[in-house]
Amino acid sequence: MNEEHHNTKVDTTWAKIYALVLGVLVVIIFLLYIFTQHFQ
Amino acid sequence: MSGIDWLVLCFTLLSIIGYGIYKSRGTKSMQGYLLADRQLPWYHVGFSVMATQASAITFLSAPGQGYTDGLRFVQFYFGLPLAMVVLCITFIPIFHKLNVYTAYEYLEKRFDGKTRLLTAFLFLLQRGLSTGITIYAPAIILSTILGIDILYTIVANGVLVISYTVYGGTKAVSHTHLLQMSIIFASLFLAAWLVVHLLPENVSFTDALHIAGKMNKLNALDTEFDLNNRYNLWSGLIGGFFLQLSYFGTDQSQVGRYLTGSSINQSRMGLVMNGLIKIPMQFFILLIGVLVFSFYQFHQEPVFFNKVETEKLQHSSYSKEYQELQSAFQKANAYKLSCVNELVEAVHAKNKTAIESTGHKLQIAEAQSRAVKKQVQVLIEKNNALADSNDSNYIFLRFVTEQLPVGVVGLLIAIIFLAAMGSTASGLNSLASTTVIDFYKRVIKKGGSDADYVSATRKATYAWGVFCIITAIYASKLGNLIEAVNILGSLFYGTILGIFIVAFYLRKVGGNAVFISALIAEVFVVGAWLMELTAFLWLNVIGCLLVVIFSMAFQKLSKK
Repeated sequence: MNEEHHNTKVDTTWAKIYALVLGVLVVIIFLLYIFTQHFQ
Repeated sequence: MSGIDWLVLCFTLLSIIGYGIYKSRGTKSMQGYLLADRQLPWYHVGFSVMATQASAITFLSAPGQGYTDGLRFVQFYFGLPLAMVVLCITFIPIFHKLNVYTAYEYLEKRFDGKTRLLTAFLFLLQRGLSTGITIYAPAIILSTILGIDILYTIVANGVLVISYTVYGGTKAVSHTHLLQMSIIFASLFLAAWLVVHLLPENVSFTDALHIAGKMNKLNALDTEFDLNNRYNLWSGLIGGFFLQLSYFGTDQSQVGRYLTGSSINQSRMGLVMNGLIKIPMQFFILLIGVLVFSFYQFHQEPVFFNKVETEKLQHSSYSKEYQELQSAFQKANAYKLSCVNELVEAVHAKNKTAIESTGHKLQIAEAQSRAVKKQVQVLIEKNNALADSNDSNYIFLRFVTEQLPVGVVGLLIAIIFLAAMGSTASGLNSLASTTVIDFYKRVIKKGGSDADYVSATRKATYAWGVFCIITAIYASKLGNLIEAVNILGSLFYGTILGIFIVAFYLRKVGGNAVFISALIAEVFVVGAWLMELTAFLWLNVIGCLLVVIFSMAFQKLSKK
């Protein structure tokens, strides 16, 4: 039971980390879009 | 190069090599020699993964690419963070749990021996050739600086890396990567600051960006979907995802790095770190190239950046034509400089109409200047059919040696060497481990001792080193090196990734179906490349999808 709870907690933490990575990618693409438009 | 530069260069290189040797002393077991005893923390894994991918080519070709082609190459890396997430979820837990030395060992457990051997063979073929190119890249530097034949610099570079890799194994490679990347990051910031510092007093960093932007160098994002456009948002996200997933998930030079993590979570954190840092880092390196481009708008730009070729031209029967072209180039650049100064004034005055009109004039002036450069390239080819007529790999090198202060030159040359050593060492290490684990231990000598296999790995490292040196000698005919490496990878990675995707996600498909599918897919991918059917990044997608689709079809047919 404890191990299951621990595993779920670990999985949730990793899900948050993966969401962060994907969020950073979206922000980078958006910033590059602004950058390209601004200096064109 | 001055004496101080040589001192900085030698001190940096010897310190790093000494550190690696010190850290890897007493390594005798297979686990220690090939996987650093699986004891490294996440930041070691992260830096090692980054140092393996960021070869000398990254620091030679990428600024050159920024200079000639702008920032659009950054889109190539958009798929990388996505690939890191998939690797963390699927690949890392499986490789760790099965306790494998190479990624291909898993394929025998999942399919059969022949699929493992085929995949390992495809890896050896493409990694052997790619590592040859990574030896060639820094050899250009010595060749240009010392003014000696590139053949000698290739052999000298290769021998240095071989001996270091043979002695240290994976432990030395991973420990030196950490130090190498720290020095590389610090030096790159210094280089960027110096480029901006060298601009005229009235020209700021943002002015330099405006100049580059008006000449289409700040094209960091292209949202139009075009299969024949090498770098756009979609090819980067989709094609780049498949290429990066294949590279990091199935290429032993990378798998061998994150298998050194002390746990699944440590390996995962290392890849997450790579996913977060890689795009900003690549953007920054390309931006340095763009800033160098802006710098040369105010200073006399060489008509051709490879001095060796222009000197040959000066002493040839085409000397008169070359001189005429040089003066035409100077005239075109003088006109361009007046346009650039007009643009800077317009930017300072925030006059949008003037910015637009001078921007248009500037593009015309730039086109005239490029046309003269093109004529010089044609002349170089006429003079010597075997000449290297692509000078993009020499741009950053020429700028560093001619414009930067004493001491910094040595440091920047050192980072190019360090990067070369890092990726070449990973390449040779993975080639040797795959040869020994997947062929020697599997086919020739089963049940040998650890000492036998460590000794065989050392010998395999020597042999692959020689192969890579020979490849490097022929690499000068490949144009832009960073693209050459990526095109080469794209020819094989799709098929290899397809095999792994089937292994992980299509549990009902057996060894025979995936083996035949992989052979057909590889023939198709090479055919598509030879016939230039699509931009190279899409070859990864095509190869992978063909293996998956054919595998499912053959599996169904075999059941009937």
